[in-house]
Amino acid sequence: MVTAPPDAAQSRKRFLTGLLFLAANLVVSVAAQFVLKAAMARLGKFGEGGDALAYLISMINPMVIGGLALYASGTVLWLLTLTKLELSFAYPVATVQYLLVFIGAWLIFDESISWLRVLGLAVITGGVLIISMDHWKK
Amino acid sequence: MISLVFLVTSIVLVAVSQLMLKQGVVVRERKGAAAGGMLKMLFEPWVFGGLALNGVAAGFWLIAISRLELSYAFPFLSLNYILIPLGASYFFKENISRYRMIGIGVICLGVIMIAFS
Repeated sequence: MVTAPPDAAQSRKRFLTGLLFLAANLVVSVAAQFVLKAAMARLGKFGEGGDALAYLISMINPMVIGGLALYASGTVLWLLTLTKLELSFAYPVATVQYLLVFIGAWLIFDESISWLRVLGLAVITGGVLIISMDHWKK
Repeated sequence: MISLVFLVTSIVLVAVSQLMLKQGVVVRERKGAAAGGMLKMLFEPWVFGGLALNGVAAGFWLIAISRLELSYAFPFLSLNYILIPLGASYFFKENISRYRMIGIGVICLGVIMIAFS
């Protein structure tokens, strides 16, 4: 592939644009999870009393559809991120998503988060970082 | 227990859908890389099927989170870091590097911890 001669100002702009996409991806993807969780909390737990089919039909509502649209936008923003940033950089940073979901689950949904769960999340993040070391090597 | 079944089904379906999308791209390339562009790509059966399966997976995910805490369910998504490389290695003969293998093991451990939390 033919690449343009290195131009510091241009690559800086590219990097900052990529960061902006990545930040937007994080915010939108996490917001999608919160909207979907809130939407499902309003419907109650699936399979606990009531008609299953009626429940499934009630899932087609503006809040669920809005949450799914946010989720899809998050995917598009991720693809845009990858046009500007190296996967080896974007991939580990994207694990911030897990942390944001934890904080939101705690603050917004009053979930009781045990130490084992926090530790589990830390271990998972470590695993993702190990996987991305594979990219740093190259 | 049933919640876990919904949760894991959703995650397995996402992994399968990713492999289908990859297969779709491979098939299209075989037909001639630039043939048809984006719209034709969308209607490539593997791609179309993969996207549809992604929709089904979203349905399972929604049912799972109606029953589970988000801080419990969400970390399970990292299972995709395991399932997709395993599938890619089996179906597309992609290489799993040593780092990736170690990372997969560590992620497994973390998910097991979350499962019991």
